Amino acid sequence: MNRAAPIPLTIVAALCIGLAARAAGEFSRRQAPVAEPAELVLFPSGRMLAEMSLGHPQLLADAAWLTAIQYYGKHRLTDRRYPLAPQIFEVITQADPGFRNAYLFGALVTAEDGNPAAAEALLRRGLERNPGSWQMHFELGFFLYVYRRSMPEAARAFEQAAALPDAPEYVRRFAAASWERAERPEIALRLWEEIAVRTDNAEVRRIAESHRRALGAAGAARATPDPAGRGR
Amino acid sequence: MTPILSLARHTLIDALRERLLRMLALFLVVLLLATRLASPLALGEGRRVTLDLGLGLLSLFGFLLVMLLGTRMVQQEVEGRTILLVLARPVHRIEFLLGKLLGLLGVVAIGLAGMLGILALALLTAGYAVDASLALAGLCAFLELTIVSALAVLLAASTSPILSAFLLLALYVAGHLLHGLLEMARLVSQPLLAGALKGVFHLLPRLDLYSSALQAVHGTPLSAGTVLWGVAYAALYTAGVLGLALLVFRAREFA
Repeated sequence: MNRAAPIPLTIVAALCIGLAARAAGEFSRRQAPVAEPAELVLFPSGRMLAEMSLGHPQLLADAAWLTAIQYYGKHRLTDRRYPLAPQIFEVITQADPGFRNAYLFGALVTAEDGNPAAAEALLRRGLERNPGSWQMHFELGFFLYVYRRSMPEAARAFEQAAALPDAPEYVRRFAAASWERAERPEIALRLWEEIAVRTDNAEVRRIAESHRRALGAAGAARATPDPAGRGR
Repeated sequence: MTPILSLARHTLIDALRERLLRMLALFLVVLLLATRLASPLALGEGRRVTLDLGLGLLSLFGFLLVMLLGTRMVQQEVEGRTILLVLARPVHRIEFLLGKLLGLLGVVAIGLAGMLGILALALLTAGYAVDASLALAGLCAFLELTIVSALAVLLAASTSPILSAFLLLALYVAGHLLHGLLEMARLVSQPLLAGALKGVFHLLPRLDLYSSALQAVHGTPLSAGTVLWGVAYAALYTAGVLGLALLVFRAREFA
C-alpha cells in the first residue's frame, strides 16, 4: 500500500485549510450584509423560561443572567444606554425569584439608564419575594437615599435591614445617620445608643458616643426656653 | 477512479436501502404539520414561515443524515470485516476515504433534492410561488453539508461512532456560532489570546456563511461570483479535512 508521507500531507492539509480561510473571507465579504435582528427579540418571558427548564429554573435564570451581563457590557462599552434592562432583569427574577443579585444589579443598571421608578419597582419586588434578606432592605434603603433623597423612607429600610439576623453592624449606623438627616433625632439617638452598647469596636463606639453627645446637646438646646422669646 | 466510484456506490446503495426513505417521510410529515400549524398564525407571512421552516428542517435533517450515516461508516466496515477485504485489494486509503465521502455526498444530494421537492410541493399546494432561489438555497445547504460530511469522515476515521457523533454535533454548533469568537478576540486585551481565538476561528468550519447565503430565498441578491467563492471554500476546506482524515486513517491498523 502506498502511504503518503505524513509531513507533506500535513503541509497540504494545512495549505488547503489556510486557502479555505481566505476563500471564506471573500465569500463573507461578498455576501450582502444581513440586517441584525432586533436586540434580544427572542428573549423569552420568565414564566416561559421556568416552564422550559423542566424543574431547573435556576439554570436558565443563570443563562439569562449571563445574557444580561453581556448586554450590559456591550452597551457599557458603546452607548451607555440600557433600555431593555428592566425587561431582562424582570425575566431573570421571574424565573428565579431568589436571585438577589439580579434585583440589585438590575436596579443599578436601570437607575443608571435614567429610569429610577423601574429600578425601585424591581427592588421592591425583590423585597416582596425575599423579605428575610437584609441585603434587599439595605439596597432599597441605599437606593432611596441616593436616588430619591427620601431620608425617612431610606432610614426605615435601613432599620428594617438592621433588625434582620446576619445584618452587619454598619447597617444600623446607616439607619441612625439617615434618621438624623431625616430630622428625627429621637430615633437617631436611640439607634446610636444601641450601637454604642452593642459594638466591640472601640472606634465605632467613639463615633456612636460622639453622635449621641451631639444629638443630646441639640436636644437640650431645643428644650431650653429662649429668653428673648424667639422660639415662640 | 474505479475503486472510489464502486465504494461510493456501495455507500449510497446501503443508505438508500432504508434510512434515507424513512428520513424523507419524516421530513414530509414534520414539514406539513409545522407549516399547517404555523402559517395561519403568521398574519400574511405564510410563505415566509413555510420557507423558513422548510429550509430550517432541511438543514437539520441533512445534518442528522450525515451524522447518522457518516460517523458509523468506517466502524461498520471494521465490524463486518469488509475493510480487510477492501484494503487487501490495490485500494489506497485515500481512495477508501474519498469513496466513502462521495457516497455520503450522493446520499446528501438525493436527500436534499427530495426534501426541496417536498418543500416546493408544500409551497405550491398552499398557493405560494416557487422560484429559482429555492435551488440556490439547496446548493448552499449542499455545500454546508459537504463540509460537515468531510468532518464526519475525519471523525469516523479517528474515533468511535458515538464520540464522532458528539464531536460532529459540537463542530456543527460551533460552526454556526463563530461570530462570537471573533467578537471575543476583538474584546480581549492580551494579543496572544486574541491571536489564538482568531486561529480557532479560521480553523473551525464557517458553516454560518451558508446560513447567511440562504437569505437568497428572501430576495437578498447572491451573485454568481459569491456562489463560486462559497464553492471554493467548501472544496478547499473539504480537501484539507480529508488530508487530515488520511493522516489519521493511514496510522490505523486493522487486524
